[in-house]
Amino acid sequence: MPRLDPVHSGIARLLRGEALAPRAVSRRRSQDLVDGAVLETIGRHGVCVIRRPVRELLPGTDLERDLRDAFASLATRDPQSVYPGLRAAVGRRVEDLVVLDLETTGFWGCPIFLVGMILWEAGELISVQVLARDYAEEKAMLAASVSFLGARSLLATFNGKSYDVPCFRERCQYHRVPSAVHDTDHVDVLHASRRRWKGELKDCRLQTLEWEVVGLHRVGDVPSAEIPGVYHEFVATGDPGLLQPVLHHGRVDTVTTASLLARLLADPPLPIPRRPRKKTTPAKDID
Amino acid sequence: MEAAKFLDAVGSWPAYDGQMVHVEKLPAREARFGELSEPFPLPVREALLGMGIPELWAHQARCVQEARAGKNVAVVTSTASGKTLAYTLPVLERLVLEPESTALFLYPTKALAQDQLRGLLRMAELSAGIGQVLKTGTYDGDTPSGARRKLRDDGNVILTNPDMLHSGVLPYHMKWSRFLANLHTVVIDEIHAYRGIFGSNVANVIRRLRRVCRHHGSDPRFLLGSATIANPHDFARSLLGEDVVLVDEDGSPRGPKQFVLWNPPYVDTASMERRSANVEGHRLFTELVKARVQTICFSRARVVAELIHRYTQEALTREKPELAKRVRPYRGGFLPRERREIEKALFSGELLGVSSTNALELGIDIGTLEASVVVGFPSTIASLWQQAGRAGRGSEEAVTFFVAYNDPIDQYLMRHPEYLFAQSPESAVIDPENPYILSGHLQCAAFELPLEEGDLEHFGEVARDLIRLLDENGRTRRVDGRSYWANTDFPSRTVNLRHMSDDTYTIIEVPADLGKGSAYRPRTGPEFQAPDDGEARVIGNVDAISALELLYPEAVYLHDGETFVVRHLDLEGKSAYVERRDVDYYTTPVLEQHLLLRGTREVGTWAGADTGFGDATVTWFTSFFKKIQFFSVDSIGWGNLDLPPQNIDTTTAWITIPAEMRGRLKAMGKNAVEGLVGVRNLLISVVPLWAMCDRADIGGVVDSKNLGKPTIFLYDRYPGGLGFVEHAFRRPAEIFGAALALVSECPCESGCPSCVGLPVLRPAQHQDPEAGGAWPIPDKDSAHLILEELVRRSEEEERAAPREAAVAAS
Repeated sequence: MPRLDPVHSGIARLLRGEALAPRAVSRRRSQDLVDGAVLETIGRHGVCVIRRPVRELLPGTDLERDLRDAFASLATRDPQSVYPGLRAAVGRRVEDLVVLDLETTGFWGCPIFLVGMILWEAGELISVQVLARDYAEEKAMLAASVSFLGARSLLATFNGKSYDVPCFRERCQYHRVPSAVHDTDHVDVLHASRRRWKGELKDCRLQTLEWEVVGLHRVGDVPSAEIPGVYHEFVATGDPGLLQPVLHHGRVDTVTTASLLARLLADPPLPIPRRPRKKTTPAKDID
Repeated sequence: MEAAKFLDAVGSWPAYDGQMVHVEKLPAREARFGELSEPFPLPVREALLGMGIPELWAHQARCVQEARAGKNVAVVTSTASGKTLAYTLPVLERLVLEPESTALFLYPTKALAQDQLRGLLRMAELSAGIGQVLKTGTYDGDTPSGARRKLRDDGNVILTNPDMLHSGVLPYHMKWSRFLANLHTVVIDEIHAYRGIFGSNVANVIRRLRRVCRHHGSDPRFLLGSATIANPHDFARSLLGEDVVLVDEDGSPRGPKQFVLWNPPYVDTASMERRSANVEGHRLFTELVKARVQTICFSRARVVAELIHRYTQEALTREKPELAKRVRPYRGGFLPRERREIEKALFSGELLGVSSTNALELGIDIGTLEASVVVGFPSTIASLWQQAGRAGRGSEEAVTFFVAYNDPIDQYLMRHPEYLFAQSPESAVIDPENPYILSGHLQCAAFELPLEEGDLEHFGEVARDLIRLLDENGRTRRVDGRSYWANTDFPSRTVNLRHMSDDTYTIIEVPADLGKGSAYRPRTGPEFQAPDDGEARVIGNVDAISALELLYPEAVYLHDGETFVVRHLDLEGKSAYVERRDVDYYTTPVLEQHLLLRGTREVGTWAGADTGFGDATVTWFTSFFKKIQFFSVDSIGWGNLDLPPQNIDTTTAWITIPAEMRGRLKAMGKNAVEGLVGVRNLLISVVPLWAMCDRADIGGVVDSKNLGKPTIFLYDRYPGGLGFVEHAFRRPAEIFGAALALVSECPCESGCPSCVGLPVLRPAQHQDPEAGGAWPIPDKDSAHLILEELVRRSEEEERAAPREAAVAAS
């Protein structure tokens, strides 16, 4: 069998120069990998699912009620008074709603490793996260997510028209997983937020809105840009502690998106809560 | 044209002094036509008819037939033999029959892709059936993002370059899934351009493309085009990594041609100085244009193309003013609009003459001309034939003049015409499995799709070890038998297909009075302020490496025959500000090259000489410039320059010749350093046989600065090194043995381009060869003596202690 020519002994050194230190890989296939995670069989695939009731995530607020009220009010409203980007919600039941947010392993076109959703199960609003514990689990994770998404007819995202939906579709196509996510059933909260708060706030990034409008303050978060690196390290080491802040980050993103949606759909719009005086005093910590 | 008559006339010029040292008569060749088993569908027939092509030449027909059979085909025929048509027809046929199918055309340069796009669009105009289905465009760095998206989503014939495929298409292949899933044909034209490092990289990009296509469910066939090289079949196969049918029976007709070797005469009987080749070349060019013979004049550097243009235009203004406007220069660095203009004017016959660099050597469509003048040997025989091939249309007799510089190679060729006419053109060599190159592409491949066992079929068995290394080092991670990309880098950003940077400098003309009389706007120097938009005009561009050799402050920049003086070179803004100024001189840069040994990885001894392998920084910079008067080529001044050097950090292998050997050469009246320069050149010729690279991928210097003794250093011309010169360190006995064989078997008397070669390996790219210093050809005898002695000692060592002699050669 051809081997590397001894002439090229330098190649290993070349590669090492730019690499992570080699580490032992532990294969994790148990559900106690990540706190609260369970292995579920969804469709034909066994996947890792983390469920948390939204009520537990946001003690003291009632996102369930806000959403129910908002959807109820839609029934009596002139659709023209609803923000254009949100009109797909008109005529829907609140139970049809699923909020979606993705985390990927790098740039555009890179694999997805976490699909975060907020959806209703048995009358309760739940944060459901489907996790690929390594690169090989992406396909199962997507197929399981499609089962969750496919059962619900109204998708809500923050910037999902440009990012999450095409990205999800692309990865499903890559794995040849039939995907039922269509633009027509989709409300993108970013667009309506821009309409509502542009000029009033310094920008309309999710975290700005979260702080200024929803009044949440993140604790123990990890910056978005660092997430792919953390995930690669998690795959390399199998250390579940690394992933906790990432899961947390994903949950907060979906909760904020749902809260913004409730506010934007409400008629008249819910008042913006009094802004906390200093960023150091949390308005409301979540988790 | 009537070449014989013209040559007769030349012989009776008052200034004729026996310059025609050799005239080779190349016979005419009859056209041979080929038959198709099935006629083309109507829309394709319409387009052919519209172009006035009733029948296909034999090689075109064969290419179509093989392509129809689903084979990979390489068409290797002469310049202007209709290669483009040969591989475009099967694509169009497929498109007409199956409008959802797609095709990808790869060209080595953006300019060429843009040129070929016009050809395709012409065919679409000629045939409504083609016009209806063809959705085409160029996809490169210049394509606006809206158009990119449209091409991705709807295009069916996309023209691009390997660099764009590598970093702009493959990493985003999911966005291209419609295009890739329907990809039926990949056309790769001018494959002879893909030699050496660039070619080894491109071969891997092709493997990645095939692998990604397989994922999307397609298995395209490849149609390749090449100029004549010595090993087209092997080369096409290794570029593709698949078998390919060679079509090389050229069916295109060729008129007879007179190929004239023209050696400028000595200035006077007492000196060894010859008349200027540029001046002689412009005279031939001028006379041809005056005789209304459409002519292309090729030269080695942009500066020379401009010089010859300027001389010719001045001569025509004096002698036949009505023709002065019918010549133009053509070269890289012109704005696309300007280039289009010139190409069109040549095609239509409005231009009678063009003075060009090798920019027109590749397949830009300018029709066929009647005569060509090649000033200076263009570095390879393949190039010389390409350039000569631009002249000769139909059955008419054509003429090519090859005008020699007074340098060793050109003069050798003047003395030995048989070398030109008998020698086969150079081989093109690549090594897609070079582990340094391959490991970069495996990373790109892993980013695109996880690597698995089946990929070894694309990348070869060596990939197995490399993938294991990638896994071990955490670049990729192995899960369930597949290696997934496991970090946040974007690998195609760090893998460069070419060894040059692709940055460009913009050349901006500012008014001559800009900043005059104002304390706030210095005319030159670091405080120079860029003018407002209204005052400035972009007139051209140049690549970043050339900028420092062409556009240094006070340089004369020749553009379309006019002189501009560089006022300021903005290194950060990548711009050069020039003003129009009438001067009677041009400038030429003087380059210095240094090698600094930074670290030693291994040392050894071989044949009593110290050898080593380590890391080095190779630096070159333009240290000063000379002002040269037009025509007389007299040096009329010079200026110092303070420009940043350009570096590559790479690997080097060296050998220091023992002192007593040097002593012995000296006692024989020989100069050891001249001998070492010859040995260096010989080594550069033979190392590629082991390293599977191009000669141009290796550099070398001889110096005493690093080690205190005259030493030959060879280095890889690629950042980080690619393992080429490491062979010289590991296998000295084989490599020095081959060098000795090469020099002793060379029949020349005292050195020629085939053995001890050039005295200067890399002269400034933009230098007028006549403005540089004259260097002697390296001393063949000394080189021979050095090699002979080293090889003899090594054999003695081997006999004495067979195991220890070679350094880690096992």
